[in-house]
Amino acid sequence: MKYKIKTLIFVCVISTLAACTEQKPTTGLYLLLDTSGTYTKELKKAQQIIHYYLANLEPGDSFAVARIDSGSFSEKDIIAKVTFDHRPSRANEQKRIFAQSIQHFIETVKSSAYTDINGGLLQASEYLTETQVSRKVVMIFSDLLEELPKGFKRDFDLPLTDFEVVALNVTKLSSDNRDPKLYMKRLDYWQKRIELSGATWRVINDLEREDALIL
Amino acid sequence: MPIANIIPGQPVLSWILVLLCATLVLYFIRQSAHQLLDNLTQLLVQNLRLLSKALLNLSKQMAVRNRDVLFEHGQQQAERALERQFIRLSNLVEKDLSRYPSMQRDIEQNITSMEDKLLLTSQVPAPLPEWTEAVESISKLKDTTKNDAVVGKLLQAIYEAFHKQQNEVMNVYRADIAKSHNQLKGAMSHWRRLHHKITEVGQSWHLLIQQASKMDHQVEHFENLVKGTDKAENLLKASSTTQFFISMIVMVIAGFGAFVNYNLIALPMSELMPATSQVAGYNVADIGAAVIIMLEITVGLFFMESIGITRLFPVIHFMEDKKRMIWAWVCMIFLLALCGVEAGLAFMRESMVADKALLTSFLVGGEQAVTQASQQEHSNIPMIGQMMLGFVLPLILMFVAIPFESVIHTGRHVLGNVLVQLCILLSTLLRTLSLLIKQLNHSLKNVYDILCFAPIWIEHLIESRPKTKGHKSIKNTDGDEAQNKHIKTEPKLLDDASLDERAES
Repeated sequence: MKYKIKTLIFVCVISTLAACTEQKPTTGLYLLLDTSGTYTKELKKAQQIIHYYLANLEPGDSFAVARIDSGSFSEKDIIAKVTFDHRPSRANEQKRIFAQSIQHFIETVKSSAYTDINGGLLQASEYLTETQVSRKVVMIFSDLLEELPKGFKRDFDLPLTDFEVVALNVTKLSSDNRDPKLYMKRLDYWQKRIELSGATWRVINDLEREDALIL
Repeated sequence: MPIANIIPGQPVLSWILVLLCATLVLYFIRQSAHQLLDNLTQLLVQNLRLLSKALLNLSKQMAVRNRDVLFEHGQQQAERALERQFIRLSNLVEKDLSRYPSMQRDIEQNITSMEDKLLLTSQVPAPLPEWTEAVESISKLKDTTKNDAVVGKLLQAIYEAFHKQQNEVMNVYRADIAKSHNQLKGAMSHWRRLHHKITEVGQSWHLLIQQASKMDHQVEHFENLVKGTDKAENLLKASSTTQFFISMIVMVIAGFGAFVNYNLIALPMSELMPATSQVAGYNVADIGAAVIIMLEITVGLFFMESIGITRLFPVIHFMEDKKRMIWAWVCMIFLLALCGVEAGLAFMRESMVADKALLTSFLVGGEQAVTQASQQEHSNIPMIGQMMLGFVLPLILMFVAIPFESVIHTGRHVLGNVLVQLCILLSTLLRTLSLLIKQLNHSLKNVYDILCFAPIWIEHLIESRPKTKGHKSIKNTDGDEAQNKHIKTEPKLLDDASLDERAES
């Protein structure tokens, strides 16, 4: 009888501990890189941003970098993706490999004719939902000027509920310089579209501000 | 309807009318209002006094309990001190007694040697001169001229023989004396040895006497404790409070040590335990590091217990000596294993920090920066220092068992005393509050009377008007009745004895 009671107490204690054990909140970061036209010149800056996040992301977090080209709603456009191991030493190794992949991509990247931002966002949404992270952040390193090839339809609602979308380094085009309204209109369009889909919207143009980049 | 329009067009009159009515109402309900205030005051005051008494009784009970606990702890301490003194005395006696047979033998040998020497030095009386008989014979010869020459010759011969023999005897005697002196010189060493041995015995006895007087003092102290004298209580209180604070300071220092230890192993623990899991908002790796430190302290506690320094666990304390020593060895092995684990973790921590630094260099400056960083000379001193800290800190933390025991034993009494004082303070505050409420009641009644002063003043005037005798007697009777009524209606406050009873119940 005593043995049974002891076993029961032991099982209860273990169950309570197991019930108390929870997963640490993890972050999923998906970075979209615009490779259209002259924007490829800005990719060196993007590499610095990637390195910054590689240094700051912790074991258990997920990180993916994808390109925005003519048709971005495709797994092929993901340049590198990783979910960091729970052991810091292994995670560091993964970070090194990730950084090397990005380096290789930047050295060999070719400009694309079109810019499918919505496709990239949809792919980001899919990836981050699959990783089941607690916090989902999508970063768009682009001038936010979308140009779609003929036949591409992107008039759907983006499934970005509880996402954080951050636009990085939104450069001003020559047309924006002539008419700044175009730039403001473009930003306004994306803000509305993102917020309507249930996500939050932020723009960071000064990449030197470390406090703004902190996740 | 506004008050100012009670008499249309006459706001002042309306207000006066209202005030008059209000004053009259207040006057008519004065007795009841006073009664209400008295009843409420009684309710509050009696409950507060009851609570105050209850707290006072509680504080008394707690003080008695604290005293018992204090004496119990004091007796335990005194028992331990007595036990230690007995052990010392026993060791002393054992050590001295074990030496006594050999010492006695030594002394006896020395005495025998000295006796022998003395025997050898005993003086041999000089042999009687043989020539005395010859002198006697000569003296018996007749005094004649004939004999004179013979006597002279004889005496001359005796004289010469005497001188010769005397010289010989003297020489022999001197030789004997010199020999005796030499023998006595040889006995000196025995005498010194004997003196040294006796001094040693004296010193041992002196130590024994000192130890005995210490034990007398301890026994006296113990007797005082058993009797429960005030002197013993005061001594114990002072000692207990001092011990508590000293132990607390040491515990705080040990806490800082544990914090350093925790920081040393928290990072590498993330390699061993899943860094992505949490329990109650804390990383499992951090909890693991804290658990390791707690385990070290626990094993340290068991070790200190098993070698008899602390007495927190009676089960360990009452083990057989052999089993207790086995237990101590087991604890020490576990502790050393944990020390080794910590040293390993400290090494791993340094490797992880270096790896992180290399990664940062790689992310900032690329492969070139990594090559440069790896080519730089690194000192191993921080790593060795960390490893040594990792090994030594658990052993140092082991000693926290001593202040911990002290805090456990003295804390009960100190905290109990604080609670007693709090109860007394609270009781006094409640008493003060009850007095304040009483005074407030009086003040409120006075304020009430001020509000309806006019009718009371008129009443007073009517009462103080000179009256006929008959009227007076009637009035007096009325006044007595009113007084009686007042006495009847005055709320009766419970006396202290009944409050005590209630508080105790």
